[in-house]
Amino acid sequence: MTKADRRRARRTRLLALHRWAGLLAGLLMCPVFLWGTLAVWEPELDLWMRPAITTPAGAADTVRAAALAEALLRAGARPSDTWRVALPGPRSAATVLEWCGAGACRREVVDGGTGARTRPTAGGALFATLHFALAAGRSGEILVGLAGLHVLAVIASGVWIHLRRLLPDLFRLRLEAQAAKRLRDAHVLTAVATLPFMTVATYSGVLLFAFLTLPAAWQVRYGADRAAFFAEREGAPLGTAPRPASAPARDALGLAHAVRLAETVLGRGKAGWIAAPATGAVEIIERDGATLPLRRRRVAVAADGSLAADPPAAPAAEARLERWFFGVHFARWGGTGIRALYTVNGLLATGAIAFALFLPGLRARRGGGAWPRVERAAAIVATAGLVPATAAPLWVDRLLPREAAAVPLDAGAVAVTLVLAAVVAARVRAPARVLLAGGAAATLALPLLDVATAPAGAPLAGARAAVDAAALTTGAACLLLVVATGRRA
Amino acid sequence: MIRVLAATIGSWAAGELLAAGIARAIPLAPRAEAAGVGLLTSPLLVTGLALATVAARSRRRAVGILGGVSAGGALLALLA
Repeated sequence: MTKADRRRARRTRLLALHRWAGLLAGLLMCPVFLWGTLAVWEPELDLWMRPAITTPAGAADTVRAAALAEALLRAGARPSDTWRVALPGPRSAATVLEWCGAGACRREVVDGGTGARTRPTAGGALFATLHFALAAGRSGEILVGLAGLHVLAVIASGVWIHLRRLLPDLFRLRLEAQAAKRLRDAHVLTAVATLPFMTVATYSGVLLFAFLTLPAAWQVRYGADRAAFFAEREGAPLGTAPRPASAPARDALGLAHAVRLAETVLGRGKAGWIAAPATGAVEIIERDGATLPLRRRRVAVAADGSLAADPPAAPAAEARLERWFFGVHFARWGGTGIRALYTVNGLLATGAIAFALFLPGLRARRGGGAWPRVERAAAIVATAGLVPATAAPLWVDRLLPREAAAVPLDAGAVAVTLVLAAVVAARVRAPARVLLAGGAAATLALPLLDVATAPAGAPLAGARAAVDAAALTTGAACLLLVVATGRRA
Repeated sequence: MIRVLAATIGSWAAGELLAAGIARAIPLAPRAEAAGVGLLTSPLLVTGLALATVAARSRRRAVGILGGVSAGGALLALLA
């Protein structure tokens, strides 16, 4: 066997890895990449779901919001409860109140500027929950983590296969060629264009779940005690730091004053979260996003007003590297331009996976039987079915009454829509077009739903208007696809 | 598909054994650092192994790669 033969044989084997691992992981990762892209705009989507919040983003003051939160918590929570507050920031005026006691927690979101209560909703966090766990808890996290590992192998094998043609492939899109060639070109073009983004996003995402999917390294050193690992690496919790306070700081100082004191260390308006137990110090945690590495400095405020901040010592090199990866993944470090860049890359990466799922390579190899139909139906559900499935929770969120924060209800809407999409894929002729048309209708009508169901007097501006505009754009793009695929058919 | 699945699962197991061995065999580093290095390198190990296993010229060679890496990891863990 000559060297060229060996190289060809190796390429064939790697192509099998690229195709099969890509198919298995792609069916899951197509939605995961799309929902991750949406999660970049979590505060804005959250504001769309909470139209009662009328204070413009960035206008709510952290100290005033802490005072409002305290008044509401004193009225609603028991004295023995632990309070947690997420303060408003530059992208949203929402303040999240949580009070926990006797093994149960309650949560409420209010306008950080006015204190107005909002109706219970899954909020913008829904898409983040779908992104990293498919809203299925620990098992969903493991599934997404394992799929991420597969994607790393798919990326590496793809680079190996295309290594000599990476640049030429970046400029090749044969629009007049056969469907299979068009799809292949589109897949390679989008995958090569987003290669750095896909690699870093996948690797950092896998790292986030490495404790679950690759547990050997820390199991060897720490056994089941994961908290010991973090305590040793990140430093002792501030609650056990110097200046232990016997009196409850939240009663002695009030949350607003505690925030004011902590911001002398963190900087004005930089407080992000408050943890206020019934006894001891109040802990103020810095809002992340100021720097690329994910950093959340903590300041403990004791009852006498004394402060204990995180030690200035830099963490170990590997911990710094990990924070850098997490910062890149969470996409909170830049402005709107950076988030737009993430969005373009995320959508192109989703497209790269979607194009690959429709490539006929595997179906052609398997010949007849049920397999090609199953594979095609799964690809249609994971791509065209994704548009109505993603719009569904927004409709459910506004139309169905609810008593509590409703992640299960909204995630259920996604699941039910995907099941319906599977029925359409199995029963209807040209199912992708039908699903895309359904997605177009659902997204184009979303602004109407917004206007019709928003509280009277809620201004249609800022994040709400932006989400409505994005829905219109998505709907128009789906319509264009429906028309284009109809012409070709 | 079976070959690819076997290669990825085998690579995961062998990579984890090697990562465990590495995490255990860095006696001078603080244990948090060793575990952290293990966590950071685990995905790369598994990916590299999956590629090497699938690209191997024969099944015997693929099994040899995974067996060798697993044995190396186990040996590191035992000696440390």
